[in-house]
Amino acid sequence: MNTLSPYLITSLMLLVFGIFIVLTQRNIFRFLMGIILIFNSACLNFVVFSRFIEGGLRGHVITLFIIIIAIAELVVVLATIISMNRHVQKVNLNEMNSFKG
Amino acid sequence: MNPGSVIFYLFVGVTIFAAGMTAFSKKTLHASLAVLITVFGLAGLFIFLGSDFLALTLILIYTSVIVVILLNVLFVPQRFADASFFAGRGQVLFGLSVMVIMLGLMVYVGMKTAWIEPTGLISEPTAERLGVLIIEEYVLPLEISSLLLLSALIGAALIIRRQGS
Repeated sequence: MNTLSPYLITSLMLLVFGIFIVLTQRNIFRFLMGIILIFNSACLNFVVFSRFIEGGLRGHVITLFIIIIAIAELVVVLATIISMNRHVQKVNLNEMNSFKG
Repeated sequence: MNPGSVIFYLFVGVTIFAAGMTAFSKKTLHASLAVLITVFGLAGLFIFLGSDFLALTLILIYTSVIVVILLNVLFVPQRFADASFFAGRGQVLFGLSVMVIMLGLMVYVGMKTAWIEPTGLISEPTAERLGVLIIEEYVLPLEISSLLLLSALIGAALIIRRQGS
């Protein structure tokens, strides 16, 4: 557990699955989950390299800011989903093309 | 193989498997539960990396977020929630090929790179040092991110406000 490769493989798999979801799914909930996976893979990479290469805590701070930004984005997207559900009842990203319900 | 590394590889396997479940499961509800399991596995990996504070933060924040997503999935009509909206076979093939190409490229780069193997790792509580680091060196990003959170909050309240109230 003190080697680099298992962490990097985990992060790589998370990134790849997230990109697959973002490329293929048009359901907005699935899309959101893909974005969560990509953000988390970046977080894992930052923490791993800050422990194994740098040795300090800067990666941890950057990970905290990544989490904050991800939460801000998720809040806005969830509000948009609720508003869309109230007005037009759609969760397909290809059909969400107008701001006025 | 000592018990610690068995548990570690269990965490790695569970995380990767749950991420795969997120990508390939049929129902959106199952996918959101799989994201939850992925986040828990990641928190376990963070603990193995000696970052206890980040593991707790990840669990606290992402469980609440994913539960809210799950409630949203339950609220929309079932035909919308479970529809996968794959935009045809071509797009799935495109996604799969991008996935495989990216995987191959990154594995190739990873094999070519001469990684520095870590030596003398110590694990001690990080919360205090992290707080000092944030207050001393990263004050401006902290303030900017709090401003960002405030604006996201106000924007969300504005978006879901009913008309005329």
